[in-house]
Amino acid sequence: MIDSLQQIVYGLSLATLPQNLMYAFIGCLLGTLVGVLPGLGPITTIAVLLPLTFQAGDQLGAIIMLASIYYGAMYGGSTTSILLRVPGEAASVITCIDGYEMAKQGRAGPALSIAAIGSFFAGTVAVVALSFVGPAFAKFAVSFGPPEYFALAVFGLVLSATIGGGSPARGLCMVLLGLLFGLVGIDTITGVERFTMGVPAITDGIDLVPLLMGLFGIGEILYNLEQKGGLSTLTSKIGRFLPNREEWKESAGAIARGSGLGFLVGLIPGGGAIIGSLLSYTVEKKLSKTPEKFGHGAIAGVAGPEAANNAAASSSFVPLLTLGLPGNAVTTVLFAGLLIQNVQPGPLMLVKHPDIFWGVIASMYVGNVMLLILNLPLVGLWVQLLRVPTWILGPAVLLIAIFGSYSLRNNWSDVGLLMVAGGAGYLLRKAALDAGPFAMAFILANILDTSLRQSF
Amino acid sequence: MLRYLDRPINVAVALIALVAFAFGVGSWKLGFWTDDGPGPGLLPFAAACLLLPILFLILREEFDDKERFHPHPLFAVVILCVYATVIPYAGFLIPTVLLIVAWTRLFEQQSIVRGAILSVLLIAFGWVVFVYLLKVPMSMLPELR
Repeated sequence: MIDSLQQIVYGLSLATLPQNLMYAFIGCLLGTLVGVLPGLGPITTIAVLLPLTFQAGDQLGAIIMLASIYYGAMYGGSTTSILLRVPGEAASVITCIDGYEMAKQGRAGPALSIAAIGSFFAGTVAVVALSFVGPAFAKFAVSFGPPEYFALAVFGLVLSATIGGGSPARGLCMVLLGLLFGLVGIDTITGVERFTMGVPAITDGIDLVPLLMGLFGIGEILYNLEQKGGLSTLTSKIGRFLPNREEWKESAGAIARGSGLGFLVGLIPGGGAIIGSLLSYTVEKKLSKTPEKFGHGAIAGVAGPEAANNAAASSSFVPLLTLGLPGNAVTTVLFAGLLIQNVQPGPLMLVKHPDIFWGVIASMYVGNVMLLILNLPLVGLWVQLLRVPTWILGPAVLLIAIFGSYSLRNNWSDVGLLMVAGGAGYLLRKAALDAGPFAMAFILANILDTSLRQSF
Repeated sequence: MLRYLDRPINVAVALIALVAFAFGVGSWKLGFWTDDGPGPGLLPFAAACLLLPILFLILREEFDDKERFHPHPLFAVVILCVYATVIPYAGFLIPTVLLIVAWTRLFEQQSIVRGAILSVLLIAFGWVVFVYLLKVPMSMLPELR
């Protein structure tokens, strides 16, 4: 316990260094700025902005910026859910139900602020819990050998395939497809080239970042081309900003329960945030004295799921940082960011990179505070962004993705991969095949293969 | 045949089946077993073989699927692929201006002038951030490569 507290202080001393505070600020600002744009969810935001983090001076700065983009994008996703009924990700679908109803009634201000405050509270509770649970997980996982890793990776992939939304068959299909593409490149055990067809650009494997940017970023832009007139633009007024006394009373319990529920559910690899927010909504409706208000603008229906969503987002870092297993599509992109910074998430991360482990956890505290400071006064600005016409948004995101993917290796072949992956992302979206399990399996393919073969 | 291809899930299943077949053949050649244990082809072969019955299950699923292909995104994919093919030879600037003008004109029904202005502004923004500030070397014109 005392050891953990000392480590948190150590982490805070790193996260509050001026340059790291600056990266956290830039990350939160950019994450919210892009995440709030209609049609761009957190995963698209992180995937598109990922190359920018490579430009940060050091590993810790880059990872803090990446994590801050994540928090910012999550908040941006809530804003579009409430104001436009455009959920940035599956977990925000629940927020749409009552959040949008509140916005229609001219209560968008209280809905937005309770989402920010609930997220802040839940994020803080989750990060405190994470500080203690994380090292315990890592300590336990240090004794894992290849068979345990193989079992864990299979467990994570099966969960992601079956509870991530859609049918289990579709989820499993995407997992298997991700495994196949993830195994392209040199086999680390025998040195044999697998499925490269002699193409030098993929000898080391298919590059992860353009693939993710294409699947999630370009795929989303292409899908949005069909939504002519379907993409909402903001018409309603925001109204007063802070909740009144009664709304506070209704929200407080929901936020507390949502935080606890979300944290526990987020520890499970698969679809923690979605289940967390859905569970929280069900619990709040059951506990409410006025369940008939749910679906018609009940503030507890925004506060609870938003808190659960955020707590689950923070606790999903536990399997990522301590076991090296990304629990959902968003943490898969974060996993990619860590790998690119030469940081291998897993039980040894705490031993090999304690500065990064504790720095990232401490940056979550900092990020939560920064988001609250940034978002409450700037809500007017984010609302203005919702009025940006879609004919500017599409080309802008496209160009950022092109610049970003090229800047990875200064190689135009990455732009080609980006476009092909974009086409694939669009097809998968149209076919209701979730790219999330694909991305997870793609990343875990080599871990799975190596641990399987080392188990004999 | 055309009616079959109109449903995105059918196209996706057909493409995934092709991919699974190709990977299956590739893994066969890599070998499944060595003296020390599983070979490099075992896991991909198992994944490819498992994919086929799962694809069959997906096709048999009763799924409320009203999705159909829309010409705009399909045309956009073609434009993006042509862009990615041309850009290594023509440099960044000209293909990107043409891409944005075509994009805004064809898919967003904006005027060519608006598209041109937007392309100039976006490219200038990207150039300042990536090329000037982040020092990413990028060939803007074919002569300067």
